[in-house]
Amino acid sequence: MRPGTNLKEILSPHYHRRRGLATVVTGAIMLSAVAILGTTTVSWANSNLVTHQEILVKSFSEKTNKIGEYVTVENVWAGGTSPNKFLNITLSNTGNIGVNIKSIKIEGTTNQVISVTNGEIVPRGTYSTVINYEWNGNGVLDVFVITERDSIFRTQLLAQ
Amino acid sequence: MKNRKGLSSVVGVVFVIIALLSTVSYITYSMNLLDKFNESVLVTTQENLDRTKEIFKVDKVTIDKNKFNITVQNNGNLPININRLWAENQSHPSDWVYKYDVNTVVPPAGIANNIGQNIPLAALDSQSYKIKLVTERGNAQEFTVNSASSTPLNIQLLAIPPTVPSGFKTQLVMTVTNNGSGTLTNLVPVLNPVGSPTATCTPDPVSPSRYDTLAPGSTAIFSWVVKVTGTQDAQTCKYRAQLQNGYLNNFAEATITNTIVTLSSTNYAANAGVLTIDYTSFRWAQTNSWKSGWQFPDGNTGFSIILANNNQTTGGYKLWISENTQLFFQVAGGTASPRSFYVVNSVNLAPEGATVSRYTPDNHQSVANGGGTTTLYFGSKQQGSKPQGETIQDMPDGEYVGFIVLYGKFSINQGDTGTQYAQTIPFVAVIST
Repeated sequence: MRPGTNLKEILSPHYHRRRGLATVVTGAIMLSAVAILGTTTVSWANSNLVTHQEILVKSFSEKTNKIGEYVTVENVWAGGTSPNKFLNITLSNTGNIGVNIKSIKIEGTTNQVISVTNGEIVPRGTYSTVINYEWNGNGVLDVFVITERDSIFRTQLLAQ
Repeated sequence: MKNRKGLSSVVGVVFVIIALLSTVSYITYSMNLLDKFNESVLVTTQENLDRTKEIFKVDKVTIDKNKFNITVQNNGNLPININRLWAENQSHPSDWVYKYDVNTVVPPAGIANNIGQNIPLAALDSQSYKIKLVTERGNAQEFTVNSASSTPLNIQLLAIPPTVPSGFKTQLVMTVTNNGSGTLTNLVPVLNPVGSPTATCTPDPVSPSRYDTLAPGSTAIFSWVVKVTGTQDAQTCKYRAQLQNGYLNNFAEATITNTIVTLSSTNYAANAGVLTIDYTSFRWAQTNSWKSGWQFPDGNTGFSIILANNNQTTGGYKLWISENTQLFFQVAGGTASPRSFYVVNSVNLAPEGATVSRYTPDNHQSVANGGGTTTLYFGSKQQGSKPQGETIQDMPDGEYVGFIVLYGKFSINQGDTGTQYAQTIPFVAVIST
């Protein structure tokens, strides 16, 4: 028996009503704590998963699109007379997604990189551009086509 | 209190379940993405593989009604769609290039004709074009049309043999090698005499008349048979061969030299062989008709064959046939004896049995120099001047090998002394049964 507590108090109904309060409080606190911790953890985990999911989707999209790109150098017309020689290059999108040509690089007697604007090609579509280039008759040229997705397509041709 | 007991655990479990579900969903989603990526890789790989499986070649290129007429054969096992045709005029001063949509599908092992007939481009035989056919998968075939004029080609012209007796034929062979990187089309040879020929040369039409296509590294061969005649040794004719619409000064030349075959008492042996027979003209007769073949019944028989005189000595000379000329049969098998069938004027056909006319006077039948021909008849037991000169010879049962023993003289007139000449000509093998 606790000091200062007599039998009458012990037998009193009021004594029994106060008896589980601490437990209730403790339970409430624990429940809150679990809820807060759980919510926080789940939220964090969910956020983390969403972030990874976005990264995954982006990565998937980039890689899938990149492997679906296929650009063919359909025709190169070496024309003009020195010093106004030119190459009329026609590219064809033979892949199954649209491509955006970023630049064209020509390696021959001289090397030249040409930035391309408005180089979008729909599937089965073509894109032509004229490049001023002093080609040599019967000279071998390497043509590199670089897309926005950084795919590189290379072909070799004989300027005639 | 008993009702609230474990509530935290329940809440905790709920959160755990949520966390697990999220994780499982993420993993599932990731796996699905990976699966789709794999599918994309497979599709792209298949497309790249198909691209390498496209095999087609240009079979023929002509210009019909001022339009290209291209024939393409699909040698692969995938259908191909030829969707574009590029045409570049390499002869035109401004060197233009145009692109046309043709969209022609060629099934595996199939052939597509008339490609280029529907495009609005007028093609000329006199111009050189570089053509490119592009498929939907991005493969291309490039070739040139009427392209002989665009670059010099390796052309050679050979006379085989370069020296030929007068009246005989030689062959001019022209080879054209495509030393370029594109297929050449429509190669038509042109042969022209050069300078003033001293011999008379007559070329036959060229064979073949054209090559529709010539792949890089390949060689086209054209040939002409040329008959050469002349009156003196070392007479020549010179020819130049080039291609129609060919590159300027891209040609080859060859010279044919004539030799004369002369006959005299001292050199005729060296020139033996100036008399020849047409083996296919051999006929035999026993009754009222001429028959061919090497087997006939035994009995009285007459023969005929065509003789040619290839002596090119001019001046009206002829070979006058002596009555000693005979068709001599040696025994090849069996027990029969050799037989001589002397030359006769004619073999007279009759149902009851053929007869012969005596060869008289001697040396009366002639054949002109320079390729003249005559039909010789054989069949008497003896020379025309002998008693059995008009008695038909019999051919007993047996196997024989025969040859013509030909005597005569080269002279202008029958009565001239002339130059004696004799030659044996391998003849035929016959069987008499």
